[in-house]
Amino acid sequence: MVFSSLLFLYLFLPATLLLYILMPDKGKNLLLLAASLVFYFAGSGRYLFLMLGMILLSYLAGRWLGQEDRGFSAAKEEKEDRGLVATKEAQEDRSLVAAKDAKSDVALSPQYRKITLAVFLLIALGLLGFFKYADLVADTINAVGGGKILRPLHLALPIGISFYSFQCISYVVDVYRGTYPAERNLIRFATYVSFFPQLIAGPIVRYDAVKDALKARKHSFENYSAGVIRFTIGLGKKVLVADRLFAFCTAAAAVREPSAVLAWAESAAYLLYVYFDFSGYSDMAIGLGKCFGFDIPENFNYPLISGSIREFWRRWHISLGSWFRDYVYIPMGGSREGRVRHIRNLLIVWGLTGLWHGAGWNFALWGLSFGVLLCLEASLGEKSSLGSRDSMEGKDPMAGKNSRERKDPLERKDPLERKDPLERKDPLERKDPLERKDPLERTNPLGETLPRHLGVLIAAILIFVWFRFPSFELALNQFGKMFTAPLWSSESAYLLKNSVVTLLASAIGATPLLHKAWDAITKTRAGRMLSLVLSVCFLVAVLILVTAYLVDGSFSPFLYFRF
Amino acid sequence: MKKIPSILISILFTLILMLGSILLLILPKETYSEAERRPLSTPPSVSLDTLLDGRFFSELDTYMADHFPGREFFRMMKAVWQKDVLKEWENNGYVLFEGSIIKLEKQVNTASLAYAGERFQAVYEQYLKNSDCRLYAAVIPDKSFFLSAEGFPVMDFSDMENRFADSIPGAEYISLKDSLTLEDYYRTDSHWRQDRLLPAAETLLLAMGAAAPEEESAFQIETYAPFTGVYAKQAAFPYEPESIQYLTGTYLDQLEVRDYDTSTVIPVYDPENCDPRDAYTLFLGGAKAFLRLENPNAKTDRNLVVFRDSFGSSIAPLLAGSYRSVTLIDLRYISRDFIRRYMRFTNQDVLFLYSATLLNNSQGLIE
Repeated sequence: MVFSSLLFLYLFLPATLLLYILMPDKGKNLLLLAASLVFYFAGSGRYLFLMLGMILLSYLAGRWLGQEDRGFSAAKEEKEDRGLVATKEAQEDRSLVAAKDAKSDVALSPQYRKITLAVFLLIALGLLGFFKYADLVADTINAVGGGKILRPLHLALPIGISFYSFQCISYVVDVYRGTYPAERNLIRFATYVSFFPQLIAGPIVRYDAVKDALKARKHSFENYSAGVIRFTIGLGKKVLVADRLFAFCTAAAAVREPSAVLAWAESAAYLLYVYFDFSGYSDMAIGLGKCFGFDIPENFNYPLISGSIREFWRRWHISLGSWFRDYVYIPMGGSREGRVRHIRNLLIVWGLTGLWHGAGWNFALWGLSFGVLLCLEASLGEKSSLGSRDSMEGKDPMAGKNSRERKDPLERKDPLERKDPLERKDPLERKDPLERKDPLERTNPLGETLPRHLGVLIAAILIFVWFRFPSFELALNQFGKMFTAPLWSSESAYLLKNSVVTLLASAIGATPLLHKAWDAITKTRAGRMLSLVLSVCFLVAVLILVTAYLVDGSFSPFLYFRF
Repeated sequence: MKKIPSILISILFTLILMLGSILLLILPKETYSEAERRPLSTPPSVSLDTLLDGRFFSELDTYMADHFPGREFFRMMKAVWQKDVLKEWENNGYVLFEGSIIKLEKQVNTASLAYAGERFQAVYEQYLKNSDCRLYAAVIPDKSFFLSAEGFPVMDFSDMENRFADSIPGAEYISLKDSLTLEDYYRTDSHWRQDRLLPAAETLLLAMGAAAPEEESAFQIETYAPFTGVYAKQAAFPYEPESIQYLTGTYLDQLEVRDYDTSTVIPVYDPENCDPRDAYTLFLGGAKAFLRLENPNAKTDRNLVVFRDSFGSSIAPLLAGSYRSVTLIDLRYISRDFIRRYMRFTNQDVLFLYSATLLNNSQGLIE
């Protein structure tokens, strides 16, 4: 089941909301869990049992690793020694540990903990690898070996496996690290992993972002209505913008007379499509989360206005970038072990980031392209005057401030990356990202930074060609059209004219301009009244239009009926 | 967000969704879509298999879309949004151009042309190869042909004409491109208008060496209204119903039409009994496998055989004025082996007259 379906909008969601409102607080988690399992079952059928297995495995691994919370207490004590944990919190943790120590003195040895973690990771990554990458491996071996050495399994990909696997891994690793104690309540933990708003398209929510809300959360009309508006924005982005952009890309790809202008517009539209599609799903997840009392972290922050690739990735799929940083890049040594290893680490992480997006070498190439540009940016950053900002940030687009802090990712204080996501304001109330002070990108006037913004945009457009096409031939064909096709054709003119409003509106919508305009409106009392009217109109209009598109989606005329 | 606006928005959103659900559940369900000419989906069956492989939920989603309250209203909303706000010309492959709804045929379907060509060649081999019949072929342009000059991406009609002509050995190709304009077609339908077909009929008749049709002034015009063509509801654009105008008088009133399926004589026009959903069926009774129009007032002994689709129904009476008889054969409803039961091919003019729309979607021709 997807959010942009009639089944979800007019059956699953209203039923779940109604039951959730009627359910006493005590049973709300159980209801959410049941709803999430139905949601997943509707889309994935028998793979539900795979997800349940992963939940159970992660829960048990967490409990095992968090036994008596030794690791947790040890880590906290270490932090206390370093003066990094608030006294009250530390006292609570100590009393917790003391109480448990009174029950039992049994604790896992570090070796057992490591083995447990390794076994868990082997199973979790093994399942992910098996279901997602088995055919890629088989096809690659067959291609290299020049024969049918391995038979592809052609398994259907379990929906959301990349997301819930990463959530489970982050949870178990964090418990292992002693970042927080293991969750003892299986219902709570299963609700966290399977929470339907973010289950199939993210964001990748860390357990500590929602653990308090899982125990007790407040519900209010303010939260609910903010969630409703955010959900509606996401729904509109997906159905009214992203799907139109995709239709344009499909039509542009099928033209008989390609032109360079159309090929560039098509590639740019594809980048916009991915942005609106993915960020639309994230908006819907965040909005639904709010409706149910959760603050799901932001996942996109106007990435297409970025002035550097590093900034792009701070704004694009934020939850994935931070996951790879904390669980792959930094454990591999980040930028601390010399230039060569730093570059190696970056390329490994970006190759994996690419493969995470899809089981194809085009995705790996897509990720690696970003990795190479990040390496180049880091090198240039060192040499240019702009590199006089924090040198570690200049070198290391993924890391925090210094090596000591990077040992514990939770303690880093990079203002752009480390702010508690829960503390972020609702995006409608958020400060305009353009106003944020990024010393690299924001200190120069627009005239000076514009070429850089354009450069990033063009790089992203080109790199996303790899993302789009499953084979190198198709991607190279697209590059060929972009660089060698005739500039213009009549068919291109038709398509571009036909979609000009969608293209321009989506390009504007990918910037914070509308958000700024909204802020300007709501500054005055009259503006706030107007904003209410606009909000209501927006809500009704988007719901009607989305319904119209979904209903029309079943349009299947028998055109050549037998008269 | 302040409290009252928050309450208002919260309630509004929840009410809209719940209202949609309730109406969907309680309103009676239709079984057939006139716009799409197809039966609407039925509730999905529940079984362990359909649940586990996801079919139940995907079929349930389709069922909801098919039976959503105000389905046609929502479809029209989408069409209007795309046309008037997004300024897109197309909706589901249809465009609204100068008041006429047109389905864009963007590419020649070579596989379909090849399939149709095989059917025609088989007829040629079986009946015409060794006969003394004179063979002719003509493609009726679809409405999108007239958009090519306007910059719309439509198929290469000349390519289709060449492929079609090549599929019938020895046939003389007659081009109708210059005898027709967009105004010669109904605004809401794919078909051409009989009251505007005299130039096209003249082109065909003269090319076949027959006498030109009578002057327009010799005919009377009758009207059937209201008429809403198949494109209107499919495209979902707002539309005004139109009317069908058909020619009567002179020899037309004496034409005798024999339906060989039912062995009956049927009227040339039957406005009382035509299907109002497909009012174009008033011409020669609609879908018929084998018809013969006999003209007792003919001043010639020549006979014409037309392999045709639905477009042939409206032009055949105009061709009949220049022949003793016009035989209409629709290969969608009759296997070629059965044709021999009804006729022999000898010394006739044989015209293969097909619309571009059918040639591009020829799967209906019987193998």
